Amino acid sequence: MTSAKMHRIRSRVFPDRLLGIFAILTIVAAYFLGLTRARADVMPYLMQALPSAERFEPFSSDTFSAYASSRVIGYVSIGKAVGYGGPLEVAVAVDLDGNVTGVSVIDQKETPSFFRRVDRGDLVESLLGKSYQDPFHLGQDVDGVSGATYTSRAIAQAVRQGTRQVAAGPLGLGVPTEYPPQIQFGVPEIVLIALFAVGYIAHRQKFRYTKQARWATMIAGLLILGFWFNRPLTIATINQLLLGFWPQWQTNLYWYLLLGGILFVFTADNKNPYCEWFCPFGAAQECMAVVGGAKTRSPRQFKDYLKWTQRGLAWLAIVLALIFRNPGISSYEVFGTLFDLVGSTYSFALLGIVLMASLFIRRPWCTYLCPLHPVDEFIRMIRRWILESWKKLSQKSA
Amino acid sequence: MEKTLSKKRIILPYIILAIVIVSVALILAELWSNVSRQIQSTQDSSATNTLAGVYQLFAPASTLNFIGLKVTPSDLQPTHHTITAKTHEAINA
Repeated sequence: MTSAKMHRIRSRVFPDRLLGIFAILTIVAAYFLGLTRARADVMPYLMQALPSAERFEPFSSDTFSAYASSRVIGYVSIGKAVGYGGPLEVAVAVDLDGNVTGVSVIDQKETPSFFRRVDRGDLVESLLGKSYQDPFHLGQDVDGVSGATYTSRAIAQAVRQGTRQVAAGPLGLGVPTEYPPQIQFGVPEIVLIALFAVGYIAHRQKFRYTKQARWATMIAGLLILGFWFNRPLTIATINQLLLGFWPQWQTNLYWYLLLGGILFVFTADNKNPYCEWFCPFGAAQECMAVVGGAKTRSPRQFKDYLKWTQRGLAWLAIVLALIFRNPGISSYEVFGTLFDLVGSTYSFALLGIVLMASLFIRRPWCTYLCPLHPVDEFIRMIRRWILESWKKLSQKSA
Repeated sequence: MEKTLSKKRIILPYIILAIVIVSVALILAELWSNVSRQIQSTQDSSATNTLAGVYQLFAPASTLNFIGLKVTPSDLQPTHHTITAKTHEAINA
């Protein structure tokens, strides 16, 4: 390699690494800044859950006695569960017989458009009147909101926990034994394992039908993981990982399989098994590309600006999520907008632009806007850096 | 024919740039709307303090209508760890 070429490579690698360090430092700073944010005062939520109360007195750290005319009229307890985006807290008002009389959501980390769906639905109303003895199980005695199953399940679990805290605490009632949740292993999990397996086989050098296998996985990803279950990988998942909001494995096996599979292939093979192979939105763009005859287009004169804009957006999305300790707050992807028709006006406008652009540019979202692409590049850069340093160290010690 | 092709080659990068600029603007608007909603809903003390600080900067305006929040001066006093139900009502007004 000529020295001029080496110099060119170094001059490209150096700012990338420098900005990589800057990104890590700011992300760490955002994490600690998020930790210092004061917890929401629960009093307004206690009032919302039980408006007839005149005052509240703490019974325990999570349970409050509600008074009106100097007598106890009920209790409000803080129930907790883990939703799609992270921890969720509700204030549950319970009467003296152990029945739910009011619910108010104190804190949640769900993707805003999906939480609005639950908020506008009648899930919370359907929980009113339930007893501490009820199972609060989705599909059994609680109807979840379609398209927001994880959030619905978490709200039901949190309300059950709050209700039983009151029953077992101030009311002194015997509460049913809590069993660990059932393992959720169904179509999405099976399809995901199958897609990883097909991707692995198709990557082998002797495999002849790589192109056909890739289209098969993309179509399966689009139809099953996209339109049927709406479970694409989003920046919210990465944020969840960084924030340490690990959901229950029994009810979120898909999440662990997806992340574990991607990280495993990345570490072992330095390949991204997801984006080019079965990302549902990537597949949707490729279908549009077939219709419009799109090509890979990368304007040379703006290449660096476009690359850094995409990286800047990804950085902003992660930093905001860490500061607000809400993984879903910065999930600007339009996946849910396409697959579940949920989203703001901005999301629908953005989706329209991206789909139109997909007709003449190959994967415009992935190339210019997706926050996962810079994360992919970042992991590769760190991996390369570690390997180089390791090589240098072992050469020195030899 | 060649002229048309070269024209297309010149214009295309600008079209792509325009698409990205509009998309980024929409993404930033989405992020802004999510963040302002979060500030409204979490109603934590830091949000109240920030708003109180911003209000002082923009005084003597009688009402602060910043990031969609309508807050009157009497409702906003810098706090350290708690906010009252009154402030919560004011923020949601």
